[in-house]
Amino acid sequence: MDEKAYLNRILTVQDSMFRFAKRLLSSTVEAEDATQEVLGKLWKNMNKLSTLSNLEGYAMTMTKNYCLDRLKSKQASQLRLVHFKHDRASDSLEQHIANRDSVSLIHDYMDTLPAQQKMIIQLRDIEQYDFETIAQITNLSEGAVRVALSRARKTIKNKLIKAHQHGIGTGS
Amino acid sequence: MELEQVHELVERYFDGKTSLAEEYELIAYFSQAKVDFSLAHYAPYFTSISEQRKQHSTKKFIPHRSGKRINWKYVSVIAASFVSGFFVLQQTVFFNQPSPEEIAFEEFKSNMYLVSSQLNKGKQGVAYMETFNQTTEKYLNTK
Repeated sequence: MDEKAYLNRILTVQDSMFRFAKRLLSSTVEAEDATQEVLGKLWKNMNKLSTLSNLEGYAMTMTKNYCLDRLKSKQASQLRLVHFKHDRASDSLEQHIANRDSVSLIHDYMDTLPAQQKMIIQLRDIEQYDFETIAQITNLSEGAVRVALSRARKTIKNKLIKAHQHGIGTGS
Repeated sequence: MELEQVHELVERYFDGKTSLAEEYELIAYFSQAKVDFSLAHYAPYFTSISEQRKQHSTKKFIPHRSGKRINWKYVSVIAASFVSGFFVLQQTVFFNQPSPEEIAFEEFKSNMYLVSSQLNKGKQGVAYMETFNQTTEKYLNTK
């Protein structure tokens, strides 16, 4: 693959890689490290990539594997798989119903999902990949991806409805 | 988009049955200022999504070089052992420096060796005189 073409293509993916890593690792610094590390590995394997039509999918798969390894490794033992912010969440519910805070609440909702659902909802709703690509990245069947996606969305839906009723209940 | 249509789309969305194009439409609907009251509680989710799509790192990534970082923990361990090793080395060199008395003693010892070796040479020179003594004594001392 031509170097220039590679760099142009990778430039469009690296933000997706960063967001994906951040969703999984719940840390900006860790996500930046992960992105850089995966970019380095991709560069080393550039010659092998010439046969790959789907660079984006390959890059995302590598990011996923790297992040899961990081979560498993000892070095990352201080990283939490689930990012709890319950105190702040209930606070902001009672004090502000403004859209701005609900948006950060959504972050918490998404972060508390199981790892697989988190990955799939990130790839679908934020990175807008089709089911085929998501299945490829997550190494699942398309059917399993659809099921996990609908579960994740329903969990979030229920939380949204609950938060909405709670908002009305307090009369604010 | 008709309200009923949006409701139906939202339903299908949460069942995970919408296409990417339909999801795009939904996000467009929720990004406008006036969202119907019956759907208002879903709005934060869709605004959050479109906001998260714009998120990117402030760090500049380098896509063409190995991103291997130096592990400073190991570097510091190696540096510390070098520094401490240097001090230990210096201490031993310092303590092994001989005092003036010791130097004088060594000098004296080597001088005495010289003297004793010369003396031994002289002693060897007169050693054969013993034979003469023995032979004469043999005849002189017979009683």
